[in-house]
Amino acid sequence: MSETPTNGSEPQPVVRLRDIHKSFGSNHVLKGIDLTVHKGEHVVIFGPSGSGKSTLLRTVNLLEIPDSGSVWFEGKEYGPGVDGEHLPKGKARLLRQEIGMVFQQFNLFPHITALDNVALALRRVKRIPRPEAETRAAAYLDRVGLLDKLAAYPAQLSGGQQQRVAIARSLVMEPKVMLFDEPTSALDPELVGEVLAVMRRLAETGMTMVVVTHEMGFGEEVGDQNIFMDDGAVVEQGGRGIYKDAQEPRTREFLRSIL
Amino acid sequence: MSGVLAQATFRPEFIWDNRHIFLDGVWLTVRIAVVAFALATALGLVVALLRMSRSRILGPIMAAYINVFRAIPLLVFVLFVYYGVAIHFSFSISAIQAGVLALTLQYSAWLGEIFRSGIQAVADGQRQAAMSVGMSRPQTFVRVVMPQATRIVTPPTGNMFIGMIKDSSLVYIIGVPELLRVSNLLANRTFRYFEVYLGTVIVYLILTTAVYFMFKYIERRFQLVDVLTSKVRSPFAKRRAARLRRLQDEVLAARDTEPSVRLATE
Ligand SMILES: Nc1ncnc2c1ncn2[C@@H]1O[C@H](COP(=O)(O)OP(=O)(O)O)[C@@H](O)[C@H]1O
Ligand SMILES: [Mg+2]
Repeated sequence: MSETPTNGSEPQPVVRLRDIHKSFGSNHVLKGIDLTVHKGEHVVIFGPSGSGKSTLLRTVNLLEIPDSGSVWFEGKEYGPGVDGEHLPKGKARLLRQEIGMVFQQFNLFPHITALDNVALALRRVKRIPRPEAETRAAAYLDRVGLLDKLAAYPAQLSGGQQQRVAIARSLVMEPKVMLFDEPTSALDPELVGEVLAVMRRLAETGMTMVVVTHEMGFGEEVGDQNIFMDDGAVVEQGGRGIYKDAQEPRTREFLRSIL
Repeated sequence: MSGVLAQATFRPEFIWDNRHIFLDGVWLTVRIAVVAFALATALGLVVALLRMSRSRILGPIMAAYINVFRAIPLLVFVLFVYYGVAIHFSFSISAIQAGVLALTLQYSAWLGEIFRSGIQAVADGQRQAAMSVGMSRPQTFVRVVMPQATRIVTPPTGNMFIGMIKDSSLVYIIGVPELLRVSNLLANRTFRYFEVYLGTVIVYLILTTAVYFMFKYIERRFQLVDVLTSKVRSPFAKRRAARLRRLQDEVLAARDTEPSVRLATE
């Protein structure tokens, strides 16, 4: 699509946030964040708890509506926009159909099976008839190695298996971008590997990804753009080398603290 | 006169001999309780939803509704609705209708609070997950929040239904010939107070116990079983298991067409 640069400029980004501000009451959580994600790019965001990483990620798919700032997706404005600009607004619900999201607490629907978790949005959002939706859902459960668990309910699965179902639930919608919010933080240490392996493979297939994680190994391996956030602002960003030789003292201090 | 004599000997067969009177009464009790409870459930859901709405007018109005109806003794409220309002203002409603109305209004307040707490007990992450795959707010409510809230509120709702059966006896005061009223009349006519009220007690016990087991059954139906790994007996579960096995075979057969997309090893 926008692979070919038009009149010599950069290819159009998939996601572009500009000057995002968000407050909860008097708590100024995002203080003017910019983020540009190109097709196939893997962005890794890290930083201390409470620095606004989850809020930023939720802004990308408008689960959180920013107070001001621009939320672009494939050249279309979905956010309130930067002051003075009046751009055509896309519908948040349509934006979310193009963006997958994986949560720290998995957030699988506990009252339906793994298969139904994956098939639900196909049926209700894409209006695909049940047999076809179930076939597709089963194929995606197979991709994450859980074909034998399709009749299981979330409570009957391990944390790692639940998170893989959650990944399948997002992927089945064939999103253009996948957001991961600390996908391994709630897992027992021995289950982290299976989830990271799936994410690594997904990155290899060329999926565009924005990942909040403290797994520095993952960042060093797949992070094209690595962002350190603190107190609602981007402190430093860089390539894979950032984990070894960060420039900012705050970044260095944080990286030392989590080792 | 004969009242003194009647009290002397206990005659259990008196209850059986007058069974048609108890049955007439209990039939009306059941109808009043079921109708009032169904109406209160529907109204309670509306009350809960409006109470949670972001509207600055509806929310407080519903909060007041809930507090007012819960604060009035039911017996007083039954008298107020029938004699105080219906008769005084010459509304043409029967005593039964007035009784059902009083029960419905008060129970909708209690049920509204139960439903609200059940809906709010569903984790916020559930709504976020549903919205993140593009579901609308109504879809999220119907497909994700409601089914989970239903499981949460079933036990307290069952208790409310049992309460409704017991509380429906209070409409005797406006002359509705339900179980308690017909019992009173029978006792006053025959002076066999012990037998009559023993019969009444037994009938209420049977009713409430039946409702108790009905709700236990509903709660059991909520159990989640993997039809592929557990022994299932129902024909529905067997058919579902067979369908899922065919689905697995289908996916396995199609695996070779696109091996590159696999994200996990076995
Ligand atoms: N829905 C919310 N309501 C109020 N405050 C919130 C909400 N979500 C996040 N916050 C606050 O915003 C700040 C940043 O939170 P979050 O984005 O979750 O940080 P992180 O993911 O980096 O730990 C915290 O102070 C948190 O308490
Ligand atoms: Mg977070």
